[in-house]
Amino acid sequence: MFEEFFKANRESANLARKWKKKTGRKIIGVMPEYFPSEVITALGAYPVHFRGTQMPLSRSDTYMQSFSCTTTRTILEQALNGEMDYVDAFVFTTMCDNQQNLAEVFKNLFPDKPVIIFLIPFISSVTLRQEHLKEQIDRSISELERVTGNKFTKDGLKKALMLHERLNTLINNLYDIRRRNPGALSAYEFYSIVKAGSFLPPEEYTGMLGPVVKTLGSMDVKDVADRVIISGITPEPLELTKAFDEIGLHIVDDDLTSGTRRFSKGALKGTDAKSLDNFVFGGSPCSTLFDPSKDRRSYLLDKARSNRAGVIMWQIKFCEPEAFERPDITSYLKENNIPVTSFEVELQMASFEGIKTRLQAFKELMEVQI
Amino acid sequence: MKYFAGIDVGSLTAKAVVVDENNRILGYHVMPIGQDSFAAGMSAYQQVLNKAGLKREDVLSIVSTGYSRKRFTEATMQKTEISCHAKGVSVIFPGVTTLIDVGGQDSKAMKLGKNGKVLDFAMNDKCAAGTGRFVEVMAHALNLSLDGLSDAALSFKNELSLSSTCTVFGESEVVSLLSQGHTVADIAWAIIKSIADRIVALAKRVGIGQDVAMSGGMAKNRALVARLEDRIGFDILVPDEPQIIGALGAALIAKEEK
Ligand SMILES: Nc1ncnc2c1ncn2[C@@H]1O[C@H](COP(=O)(O)OP(=O)(O)O)[C@@H](O)[C@H]1O
Ligand code: SF4
Repeated sequence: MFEEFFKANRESANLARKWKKKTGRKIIGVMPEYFPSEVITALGAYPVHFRGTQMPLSRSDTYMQSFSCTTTRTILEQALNGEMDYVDAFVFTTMCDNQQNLAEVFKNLFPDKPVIIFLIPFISSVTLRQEHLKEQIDRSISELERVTGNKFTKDGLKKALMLHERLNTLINNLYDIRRRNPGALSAYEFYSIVKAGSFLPPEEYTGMLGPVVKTLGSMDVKDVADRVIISGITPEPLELTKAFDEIGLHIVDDDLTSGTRRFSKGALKGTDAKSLDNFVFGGSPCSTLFDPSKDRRSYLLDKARSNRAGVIMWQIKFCEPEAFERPDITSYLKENNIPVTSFEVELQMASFEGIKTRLQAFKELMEVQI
Repeated sequence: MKYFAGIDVGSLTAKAVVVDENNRILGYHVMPIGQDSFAAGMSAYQQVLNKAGLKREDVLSIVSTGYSRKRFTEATMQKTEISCHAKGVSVIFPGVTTLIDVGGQDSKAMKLGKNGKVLDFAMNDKCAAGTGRFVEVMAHALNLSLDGLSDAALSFKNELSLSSTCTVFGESEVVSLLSQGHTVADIAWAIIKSIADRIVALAKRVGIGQDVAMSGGMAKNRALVARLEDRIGFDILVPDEPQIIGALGAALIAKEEK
C-alpha cells in the first residue's frame, strides 16, 4: 500500500522529470516552509519542495560554511549534482539565516534559474505584517507569471485552493488516524507518505492519498505504549524514522515545521492580507517565526499531556532557530514532569548508532517512570 | 539456586558478570575486544562461567548491553548502558543520585531515583573528546601507560591548558607542548583537566546532586576522579571494579525481568 510513496521519495528527481514531461508544466522548486504553493498551482506550474537529503557532502563545501545547517548544505549538494536540472525557478523564504544564505548561493551558482524571495516579516505589528505579506505575494506572483508565461487568474486560484484544501484535509485525516490509532502504520510509513507530497503534482498526490487514508481509517484501533511526540523542523533523514520503529517508540503526533505546524492551520484561503497572514502565522508556534503571541513551551506541554507522550526534540545540526529554543523548552517540560530528550542529526549521516542508544535509553526511562 | 548473566560489549572491552538470585556476584571478567565483538562477548561469558564453576544451562537469562549489545545474539534481551549502569551502581551504592559513566567511546551522566531508576540522562555526541579513547591517544603521544598518565598528572607542577578538545588536534598540541619543553607531568594534567571539563559540562545537563558515583573504565583514572571532585565540589564514590558496573546492572535486570 505504501510502495508508491517509498518510490516517490527514492526516485524524486526522475519522478519530477517524468511529470514535467507528461504535463508540460513548469516546475518551481520551493525551499520550505511558508511559501503558499497554492499560487504556483494556480499559475499552472507544479511545486516541488526540497528539505534536504541523506547524500554525502562534497562539492557543496566549496560554497557553504561547515557551520551551515546540513539541510541547506545537502540541498546545495543535490543542486550541484544536477538533481534539480528540471527546476525552472526557485522560491526561497526568509525563515532563517541559513536559507537566506542559500538563496544568495543559488543566485550566484545558477544564474539561469530565477530565484524568487518571499520575505517573512519579523515585526510585532499585525497590521504591518499583513500589509507586508500582501506586497510579498503580489511581487512573487508577478515574478512567477514571468517564469511560467501564464496569467494569475481568479478562476485559476479558486481551482488551486480547492485542490490544496482537499490535499490538506487528507493529510490532517492521516494525522488524526495516527493520533487515534498509532499502531495503524509505522513512523517510516507515515513520514514517507507525508514526504512524497513534496515531489508529486498535487492532484496526483491527492489521488494517491485518498484510498490510503480510507484503508488506514478503517483499521482496528490498538492502544500502544511508549508514546512520543517529535518536535523540530523536519524528520530528516527519513531513514532515521526507522530507528523509532525498530526500538518500538511510537510517534503519536508531531510538532514539525513540515508537519502539524504546516498542515493544522489549513490550506491558503486567498491571496488577501488576512488569508496570507493566517497561512504563515496561523499555525502552531514555530521556531522560525516571530510571533510573541505564541508559546511553544505550553503548547508542547498540552500536546504531551493530551497524547500521554514523551517529547523528543529532533534537532538538525546547526539549525539555529531550533537550537535557540531547545534548552528552554527542555527544562520547562522537565519541570512539568514530561519525559523529554533530544538528539542532533546531520542529514548526510550514514549510521545512527549513537542516536539509537539515546532513543532506546529514552524508552527505558519512560517505561520505569510511568 | 538460579543464576543470571550480564554481558557488556563496549567499544573497547567486553565485560561479563554472573549473579545469583540474592544479587551476589559469582564472578566477572573483563577483556579487550579485538575485531569481533560477538566473539569477545562470548569469550568473556565463557570465562566468567568457568570462574563461577557454572555451565551455560545453569544461567536462566542473559541481558546484553553496551555499544555492541545488539550483536551479542546469545542474549535473552538487550538494554542500554544507561539503564544497566544505573541499576548496577544502585546495589553497590544505594542512594546515589548522580552517576557519571565514562567508557572508551562515550560519556554519560544520569540522574537517578530509587532503585537505580533513571530520571534523566545526557550523552556525549559522537566524537571521542572527553572519553577513554582521548586519554589513550594522549597517553600514546606521551609514551605513557594509562596508569602512568594518571600518576604523572597527579605530580604536575605548573598549570597548563589544552586549547583543543578534539582528539586529532589534541594529539598534535601535546606533541608541540613537548617540543616547547613543558614537562610530561604538566601536559598530562592539562589532558586530564580538558576531559574533566567536558564531563562536568555533560553532568551539569542533568544536574549534579550531592551523592555522586562514577563507573566505566575511566573511573580507574585516579587523576581524573581527583580533578572531577575538585570541579564539582563533592567526593565521588568509585566502585572497586568500575568497569563491570554495566554488566552487573545487566545481570540484575536479567534477574528482575524473569
Ligand atoms: N587502569 C586504568 N587506568 C586508567 N584508565 C583505565 C584503566 N583501565 C581502563 N581505563 C580506561 O577505560 C577505558 C575503557 O573503558 P570501558 O568502560 O571498558 O569502555 P567501553 O565500555 O566503551 O568498552 C579505556 O579507554 C581507558 O581509558
Ligand atoms: S530552519 Fe533550520 S534546518 Fe531549516 S534551513 Fe533553517 S537552519 Fe536549516
